[in-house]
Amino acid sequence: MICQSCNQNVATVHLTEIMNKEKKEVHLCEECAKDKGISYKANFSVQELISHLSTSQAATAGAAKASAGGDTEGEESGASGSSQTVGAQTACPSCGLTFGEFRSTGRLGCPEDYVHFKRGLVPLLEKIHGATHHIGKVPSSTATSSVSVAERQRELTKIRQELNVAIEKEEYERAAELRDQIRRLEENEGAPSAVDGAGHEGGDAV
Amino acid sequence: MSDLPVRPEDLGEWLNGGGPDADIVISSRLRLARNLAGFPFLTRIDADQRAELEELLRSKLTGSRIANDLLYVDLKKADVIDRLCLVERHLISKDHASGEGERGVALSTREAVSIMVNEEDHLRIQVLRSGFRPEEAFREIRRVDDALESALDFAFSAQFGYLTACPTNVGTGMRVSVMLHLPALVMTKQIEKVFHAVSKINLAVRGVYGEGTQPSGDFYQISNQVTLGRSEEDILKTVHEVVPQIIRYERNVRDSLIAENRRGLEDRVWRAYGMLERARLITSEETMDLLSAVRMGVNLGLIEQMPISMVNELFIQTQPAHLQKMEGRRLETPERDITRADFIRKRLNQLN
Repeated sequence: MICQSCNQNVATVHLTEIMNKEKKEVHLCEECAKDKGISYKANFSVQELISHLSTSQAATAGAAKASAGGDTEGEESGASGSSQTVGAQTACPSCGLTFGEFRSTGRLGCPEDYVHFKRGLVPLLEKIHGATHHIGKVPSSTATSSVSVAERQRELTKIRQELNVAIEKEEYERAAELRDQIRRLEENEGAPSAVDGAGHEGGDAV
Repeated sequence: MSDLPVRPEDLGEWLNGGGPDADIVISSRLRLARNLAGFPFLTRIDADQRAELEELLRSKLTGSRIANDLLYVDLKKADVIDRLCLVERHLISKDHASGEGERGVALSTREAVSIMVNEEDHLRIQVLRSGFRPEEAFREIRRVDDALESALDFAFSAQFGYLTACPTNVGTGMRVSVMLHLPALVMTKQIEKVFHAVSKINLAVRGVYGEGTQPSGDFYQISNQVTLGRSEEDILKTVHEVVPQIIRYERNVRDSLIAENRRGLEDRVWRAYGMLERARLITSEETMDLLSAVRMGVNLGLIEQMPISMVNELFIQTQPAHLQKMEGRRLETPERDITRADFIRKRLNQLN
């Protein structure tokens, strides 16, 4: 598609605007979008972003790991020792979505996908968020999820926060200790991803 | 047209023009994405499950004590103009309005809280506040989230946090958006610098109606991009560090515009006022641009007789769906531009 403004370059910025109930689509190249004051980054579609990132991730995930090098600095690499990613044909047994379908739509099919596509998702999350582990609110023990799971999750969250602080302060020995603690807790959990309710019974092997 | 709990004549709390830094910050908004364990996401759900999910969520929402005045709007049945009215008030997303199948929104009539059902995620909880009050919105949304969590089993993973249909929302599922009015930065072409600086610290700049919309009327939404690996408090802290700087920047530019060329600025805002007061045909796009200039004029004391609440009202009431709702009938575009011009003229004449 050619840019509608300069009619020369390839249009990479696609905007949809609904004005007076009429849908208006505008396709521009990056330069023209810039000229028009459109922050193309903000309008970059999530779908494009994901399919772009997840196709290029195989190569770069390895590289990122290599550069992380030592054992204390940088983000945790997340998936336990996963160096290959998920094949396009791999399907989630729960909802039937394949990883290839996810790549083209940018949307997952069910909570279980986070378990079954984990190897493919971790490098992607690293790119989107610069992190692979949740820090923040943990649900208080609900009727169906076991208390011990919730407690462990809270504990993990706390340690991860401490880890981030330690890394920020460049206290690497402390960080290494914390990371070991996290590993132990995650191992106890069987697999690090325990989906509430029906989810965590399924022994989510990685 | 069906009866909406939201009447076009009444404005929500968030548009009353109050709150800290309300001359520049229109609103502070928080939203949480939540999904139930045991159901597929909406992308993979079949018709029966979708209906079942909607019914379950509807009954939990209306049966809960989240707010005394929580009302549920069935968007599958709602009239198209009603749905667009809700979009214009930022109570539902554009996608939710134009979507298909069983879906709805639970609203507190004071419009502090809106909970979308069966949008991209099973639940999208939103709290809006006028002015720069993200903490207040956060406390409120935490309360709502806790209340819902005691009745529902949310999909959560120890590693990835709250699980969402799109991996860009996973983790806290939280998005903080602050809507800013930045006419002076736009006028002096310094807005690009703000975008540039903001994108470096993982905040995004969007148009008024969210993702993929163009900025209009000098309104911009600043929101966090990252939802994984950073706590809710951390995300709020970043917003609290960045937004006041943008506010200061906008104020400084306004001050120097007045100091250097007061007459020029007066001319600009009064011309905008004059156009609004006299026009016989006006599009919503032009209205937004002119009102933006007038709003700055009112905030700088250059236009004295017009209260800011009236400016805010006009921004909403001149939108296509609100206009049609007030007229009580469908209007096609040329007719709408006439009705809009008449409406604005009438309102401004009340000041004379």
